[in-house]
This record gives sequence, structure tokens and C-alpha cells, in this order.
Amino acid sequence: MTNIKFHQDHAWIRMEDGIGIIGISQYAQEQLGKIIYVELPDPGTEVTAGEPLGALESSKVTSDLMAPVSGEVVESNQSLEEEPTLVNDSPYERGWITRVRLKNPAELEGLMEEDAYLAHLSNK
Amino acid sequence: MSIRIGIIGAGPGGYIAAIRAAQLGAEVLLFEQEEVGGTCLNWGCIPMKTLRATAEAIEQFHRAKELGIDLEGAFKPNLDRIMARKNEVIQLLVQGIRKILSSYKIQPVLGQAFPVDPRMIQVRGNQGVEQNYPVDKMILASGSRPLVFPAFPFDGTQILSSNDALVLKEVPESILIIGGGVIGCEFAFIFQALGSRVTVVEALPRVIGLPSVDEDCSTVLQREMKKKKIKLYLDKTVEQTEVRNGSVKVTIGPSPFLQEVKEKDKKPVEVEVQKVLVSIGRQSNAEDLGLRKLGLEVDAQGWIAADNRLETNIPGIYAIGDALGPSRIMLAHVASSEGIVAVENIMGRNRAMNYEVVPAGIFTFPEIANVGLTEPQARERGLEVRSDSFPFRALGKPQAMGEIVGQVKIISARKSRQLVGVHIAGPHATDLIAEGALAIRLGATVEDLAQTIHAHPTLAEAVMEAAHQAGGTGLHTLKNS
Repeated sequence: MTNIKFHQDHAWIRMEDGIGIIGISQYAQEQLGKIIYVELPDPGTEVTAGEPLGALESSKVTSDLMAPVSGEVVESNQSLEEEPTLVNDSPYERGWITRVRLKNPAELEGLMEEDAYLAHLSNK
Repeated sequence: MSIRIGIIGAGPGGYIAAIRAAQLGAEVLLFEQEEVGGTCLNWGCIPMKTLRATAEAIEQFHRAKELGIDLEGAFKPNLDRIMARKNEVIQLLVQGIRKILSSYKIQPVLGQAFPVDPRMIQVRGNQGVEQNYPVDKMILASGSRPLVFPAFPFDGTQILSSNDALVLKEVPESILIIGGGVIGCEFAFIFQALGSRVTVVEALPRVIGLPSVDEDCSTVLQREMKKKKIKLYLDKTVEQTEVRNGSVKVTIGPSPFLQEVKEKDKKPVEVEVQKVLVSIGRQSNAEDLGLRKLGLEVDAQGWIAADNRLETNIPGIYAIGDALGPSRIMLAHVASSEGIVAVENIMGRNRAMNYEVVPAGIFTFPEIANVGLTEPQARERGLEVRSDSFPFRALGKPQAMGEIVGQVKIISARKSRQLVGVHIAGPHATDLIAEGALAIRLGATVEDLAQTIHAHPTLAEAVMEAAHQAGGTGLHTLKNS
């Protein structure tokens, strides 16, 4: 996958028209199992890299979603309210979670490319 | 001749004191201006719990499909019948208390009672007749009532107190609750279940922001509110309410507790709702007793000062319950315990009130319960503690019930391994907390708890598992997690 970067806590981010689209990785959705609720951040919420921006609940576990970058939430994926399993079925496309206006785009440099992320996973 | 004790207020503090006093051979005069059982039974714990039972049933109906039931047709709450059931439950319990009191030959005296001197209680009866009752000792158990905030005075129809909310005739289409504390949150979930569109405005950064409530419990509650579409404003305050015909326009602005307000948060938000419920605290009924004239020590808010034996600065006058204010703990079961301590001191024993192990229950969806210290409170006291949580969803019983939200958290001392606090959010949390209270009171260690066989499959296994976690022996968790 091009143009997509990963945070060590399993969030991904892809830039589109200057806005960062954020979701969780294929690995993360597999680990969580069937998602039953996604706690979405409201637009206007300020998020900080490495801190929770929302949470995902599966029947097995509740897990914070760590923000890969700092910024302000522009929009969250409302379709997850009715259909949280979109995160399982399509983690990189229809299961996106939130869109954030980056405070400091240089933070992207600190994130992993897919190869590095996969290597990070195999070291776990 | 036996000692004569006058008790002002027959709530859970006063009537328990009366029973204990009679058991110890005192002659008891119990004064009440409304009904035995006080706020707890008539305007608090019990009516709330009957309404909650209906709300809980509605929640189950919503889960019909999940539970494998085809529910045909619509269902809707019938507030007349809900309120009638509530009144029946109250009446049943009131009669029960009256019967117990009468078995001790205690006949509550109805009317507004106040001390005229340390050995005389005057009662203004309903017909305005004044009567004096000489007593040897006195216990003030005058309780509290919903706090009136001048900016939003209760009108009983659109601006409601918690008392007004318990006698509503119709389910409001929409309601805004000022104050996301215990009472505000309990009502929020009840009204939401009954079908109201609910908004909660809380000045603190989290709901139920009491120091005794674990932050993770607030987080769980906030997420559940979001799931149920209860609109929550945190760090906000209601600046203004404007009552119109059939609706209230509410202006919400930044909380006065905020150190710094961001530019985008400065702009007030306006919300229009059918009703507003104000639940921002309680105020003392002792204001009406003329205590200052007696020289009795009362603080600026009207809360009575008493020592740990519950005697006030005037020898022979004791005070218990909500009348002591929030510096003690304003809970029914604390008042009862204080009632017993006060009476036993009057009767010549020497007992000090201990507030270290007081369980508290919050009847939201899910329930919240705590006993002992939170992690920050323990650190403030210089204790070295660890904190271990176990989620309900990792166990069989909650999965079978389909009620998997929440966790048990145990705070324990690193060296002694003794439990310091237990914090539960989840199904039947308020019942489960009793084990934590006993454990802390007996000085149990996390090993004591972990090694106690807990029945399977039960919710209580979560307490055992959290204790296992603290001992590093967690069973139903992944290795190294």
C-alpha cells in the first residue's frame, strides 16, 4: 500500500487533500475480533500523537485507539455507528475511523512505512 | 428512670438511631415532618431504583433480537403505572418501618421539630399547634434537600428538582440535566430508557468526578452514554435558562472550573428542550432549625459540625447523616451507621465513627460501585500501591448474559499486599462491591481474595481474577499481557 503510514500502536494514516485519514491496521482488527462498537471522536476534538483518540470494543476486549499524529478532528466515520464491523471487513477503506487536520505534519516522518510496520509485527 | 432521647428526622439515620436507642433501653421520641424513611425511601434511593427497574426491563426489550426473541408490535412505558408501582413500593417499605418502630413502642411525632434549648424540642404540628417535649439528649438527623441554585429556580413543571422528576406525569420528549454527578447520571439513563432525548451538562472534565470514583469508571459511563445517544457536555456549565411556553432555552458555556478556555469553546451553545432537571447537589435542612441561636456550630452552608463521636459543640446534642454535609459521606447507609454510633455514645459507650470502608453504589447503566481509595487518593496518602483491572467480557457469565461492559479494578498496597480499594463498573457492580468492603475491613491481601474459591459461572469471578492479576497469577488473561 502506498501513501499509508503506520503507528506502532496499530493505527494507520493516509494523507488526502491535506487531511489525515486514520484507521486501524489489518493486524489490529484481527487481534480485536468482531468489533461491536467504535467510540468516535467528535469533530473539533483535539488529539495528541500517542494518546487515545477513541476506543474500539469487541466482544473480547476494549482497546484505546492511539492517535498516530496530533491535530484536530474534522470528521468521524458515522457509518461505523450502525455498522462497526466495517472495521473488520475493510480496515483500510470503508472502515476508516476519523479524519484529522494535522497540527504538525512533520510527525508523519516518525511513522513507519508498511514494510517496517510488518517487520515490527513479526518482532512481537 | 430511663434516658429520654429526642431524634429530629426519621430518615435512614434517625429511624435506625431510634431502633438502636430503644434496644438499649432508652425512651425514644422520634420527630418527622414528612414520612418515615426520609429522602432515601421517599425521594431518593428507593423511588429511583423502582424507576430503574422499569428502565432495565425496557433495555432488555431492546435486546430481544439479540436474545433470540421475536418481539411483535411496539412497547412503551406507561408512566402512570410506573409511578403507581413506585408509590406502592414506597408505601410497603414505609409501613414496614412503622411496624418495626411500633414494635419498639415508638410512635413518630408528625410536625416540624426544632430544639429550643439542649433539653427541649418544640414541635409545630400541622395545625400550627406548638408543643414542647423535654428530652435528656438529642440527635439531629434533619437531612438535606435538592440544592436550589438562584439562576435556575425550580418551578416543578419545566425546571425540575430530583424530587419533581420522581412525580412526573409524562415522559418528557427531551430533558437537559444540569450536573453529571451521581443523581444526574442515574436520571440520564432512566430518562433515556423511557424514551426522552437526554442532554447532560457537567462542569468537571468527567462524569461523576468525585475523588472516590475511579476515572476508568467515568470513562466506561461516558462511552455508554455515547452509545445510547445521551448528549454529554463536559467542562461546560449552564449559563442561562429561559422558560418559554412548553420549552426551555438553555445556554451552555465553558465551565468556571476551567483554567483556560480555548477560543472555539468560548462561544455559548444554545439548546432547546422540553424540561430541565437541576441536580447540582444538596442543601442542608438544618438551616430551618434555628441552630445558630442555640450557639450550635454550623458552617456557612448550614451543615452541622460534630466530632467523630458525632457530638456537636453543645454537649448532649448529636448530629448524624446528611445534616453533617459532604465533608462526611452523604449516603443512607452512612447515616444509619452514624445513628448507631451516636446512640451508643449517648448510652455510655465510647464509639468513634470510621469512614474508611464505606461502599457506594451508583445505579447507572452499567452500575458503578466503589469502596476504599482510588489510586490517586492512595498516592496522596503516600501509599505505594498497584492497580489491577479485569474486564467482565473475559468471563463466561457476562458473555452469557450479554452484559460485558466494564471491569473490576483492585488497588492494593505493594508491600503488605492488602487491598486498599475496589472499583467496579459493570453488571451488578453495586452488589459485587460487598466482597471488596469485607476484604478491606478484614485487611485481606490480594492472595486471600485470589485463593478464595469463587463460584463459576458468576460475575464475582471478575473480583477474583482482578486479585489474581495483582498477584501476577492471572488465569483468564493472555500470557504477558
